[in-house]
Amino acid sequence: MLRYAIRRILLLIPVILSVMVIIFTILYFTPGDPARIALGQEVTQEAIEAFRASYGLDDPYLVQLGRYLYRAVFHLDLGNSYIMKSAVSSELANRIPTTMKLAFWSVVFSTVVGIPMGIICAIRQYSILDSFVTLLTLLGVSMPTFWMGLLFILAFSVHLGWFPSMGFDTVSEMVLPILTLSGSSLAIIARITRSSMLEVIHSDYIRTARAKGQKESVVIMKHALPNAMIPIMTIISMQFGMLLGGSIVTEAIFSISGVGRLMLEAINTRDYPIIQGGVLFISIAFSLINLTVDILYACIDHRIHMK
Amino acid sequence: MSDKNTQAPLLDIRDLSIRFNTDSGVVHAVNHLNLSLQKGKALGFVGETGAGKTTTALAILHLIQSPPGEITSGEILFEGQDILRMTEAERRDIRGNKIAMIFQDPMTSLNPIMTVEDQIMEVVSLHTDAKGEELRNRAHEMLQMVGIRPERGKEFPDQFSGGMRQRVGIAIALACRPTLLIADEPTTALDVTIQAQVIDLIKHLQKMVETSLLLITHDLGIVAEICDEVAIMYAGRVVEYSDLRQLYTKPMHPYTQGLFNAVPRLDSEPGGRLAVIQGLTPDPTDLPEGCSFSPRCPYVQDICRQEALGLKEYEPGHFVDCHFPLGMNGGLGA
Repeated sequence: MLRYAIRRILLLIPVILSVMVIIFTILYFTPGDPARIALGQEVTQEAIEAFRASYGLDDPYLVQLGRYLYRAVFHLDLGNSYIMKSAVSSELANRIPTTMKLAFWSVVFSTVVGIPMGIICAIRQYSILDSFVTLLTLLGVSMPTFWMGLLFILAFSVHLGWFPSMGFDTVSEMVLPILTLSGSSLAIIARITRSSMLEVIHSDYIRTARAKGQKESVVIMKHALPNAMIPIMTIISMQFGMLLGGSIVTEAIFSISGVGRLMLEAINTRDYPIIQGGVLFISIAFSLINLTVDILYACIDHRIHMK
Repeated sequence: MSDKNTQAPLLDIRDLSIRFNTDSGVVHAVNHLNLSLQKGKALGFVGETGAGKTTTALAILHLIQSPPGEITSGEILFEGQDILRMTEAERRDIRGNKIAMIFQDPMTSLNPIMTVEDQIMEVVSLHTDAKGEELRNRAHEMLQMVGIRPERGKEFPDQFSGGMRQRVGIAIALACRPTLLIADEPTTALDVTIQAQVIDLIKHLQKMVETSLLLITHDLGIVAEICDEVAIMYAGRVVEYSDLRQLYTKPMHPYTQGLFNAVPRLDSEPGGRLAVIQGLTPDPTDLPEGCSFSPRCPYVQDICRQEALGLKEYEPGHFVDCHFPLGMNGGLGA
C-alpha cells in the first residue's frame, strides 16, 4: 500500500511538470502585453521597457521557460505578481484555505444529500419520487452555475432575506455559495448512485443476501452500497477537482476572495505568474484527490490490485 | 396431495399461479401448480428452461421481484403455515434458517467484496445467538464440511474456482441446518468433472443434516442419483409427479416420455439422430387453451385442445396431468 502510494506520488512529478510547461506556453503566446496593462495607459516607453526587463519578458521563450521551471523546482519560487508585486506563493497561500473550504463543504453537501437520494430512487425505481428526483437532477445538471447563483441570490437574499449574498466567513454566508457550487455535482452524484445501485440490486448476490433472511435495509447498506461505491467514488473525486476549478464563477458571484477570483482578476490583467500558480495549485489538488481515491478503491475492493 | 401419507407434508404448494407483468405482455410463469414434499425426502423438479422451476423456488422464499412479479393465487404451506400470508419478519426468520437455497450460478451469487467466512457468518449470526469467535468457528466448521480448508475463509470469492464457490454456496445454505434445502440447478454452471463432486456432496450432506431437498434441474440423470420423488414441470405446471422408480420405469405423460426419449443411450446407433420433442415450449404470454402440451403432443385428441385436466392420480402415488396417459386403458401410446 505504502509503496504504491509513493510510486503514485513520484508519478505526479512528470504530470505537474507537463502542466507547468503547457500553461507557460499557452500564456506566452497569449496576445496582450502584461507591461502595458500593469503600468496603465499613460506611461513612457522607457518605463515599459524597464518593466519588461525586470521580469525578463524580452528573453526568448525557452530562456523564460527554463528560468520559470528552474525557480519553481529548485527554489519553490513561483515568481512575483506583476500587479501586486507580492510573491505568488503568498498570494495563493492566502486564498487557498477559502477555496478549499468552499469546495470541501460543497463536496460534503452533495455527497451527503446525493447518495441517499440516489439510493432511494434505486429502491423505489419508477415511483413518483424517483421521477421527481430525476427531473430535479436533470435541472441541476443543466443549469449553469452563474444562473443558479443569481437565482439563489434573487430568491433567498433579495426576496426572502434569509441569507447574505456576499462573503464566506460566517455559516449563513456559506449557505448560498455551497448550494450554488454543489448544485450540479449533487445532481451527478445522485444519478450515478441511482444507476450504480440499480445494477447491483438486481445481481445474484443480493438475492443470496435476502435468501439468508437478512433485513432489506441491511441488504442495501451492507451488500449493495459497497459494491456500488466504485463508480460513485470516481464521480465524487472528479467533482471535487471540478469544484476547485469551478469555484471561479461561484467566487465571482458571491464576492468570495478565493483562488478562483484571484485567477479571474489575474486573467483580466495578464498577471501570468498568478495564473500559472493558480493552475498549478488546481492540478496538484486534482492529482492528489485522484490518488486518494485510487487508494480508497483498493480498501473497498481487494480485486483492484495496486500494481 | 396424497391421502395415504398420514404425516402432513413439509411443503405443500397448492394451486400456485405467478405472473410477470412485462412490457411485452403478461408472462404466465407458473399456472395452478400443485406440489408437495415430505419431510426428509428429496424431490427432483425437472423441466426445460423457462418452465417456471426457479420462479416456483423463489416463490417458496417469497423472493420474487415485485413488480414485475405477482403471485395471483394459491398457497405455499410450509410446516402447515402459509408463507404467502406471513409477515415479512416471519418470512425473514424462515429464510436461510428453515428454508435455504443454493443458487444456479456460483460465479455471481456470492458477494465479491466480502470474505467467504464473513458470508457464512452472516447467515449464522442472523439465526443463532452465536457471537464473535463462536461465529467464526461455525463458519470454519461449515467450510470443513464442504471440503474447503478453514484457512481459506479469509479469502474472497474470486480466489476460488467455480466448483469451490458452489461449495461455499452450499456451506451458506446448510449453515443453519435447514429443514428444506432448495438447490436451483446447482451444477449447471459447473464443469462436468466438478458436477459429480458437487452432486455427491449435496447428496451426502442432505442425509447428514437431515434436510428435505428440492432439487431443480433439467438433468434426469442427476435426479435418478439423488431423489426419491420426481415432478415434471411443463409451461408453469406439474404434468407428472410420482416416486422415482415409478416415473422412471413407467412415464405416463407424453412429455415425460419425450424427455426420456431425448436422453442419448449408450446402446444407440453411433451417428444416429437423437429423438426430439417436436415444436417449442409455448410462449408464456400466450399459452394454448386446454392442455398446454397439446400443440406438441403426438397423441393429441380434440378434448386436449379444449380443456386441461389437472393432476389426476392414475395409479397409487402416480399423478399425471393428461386425459390419455400412456400405458393406461384408454391411453393411446406405448
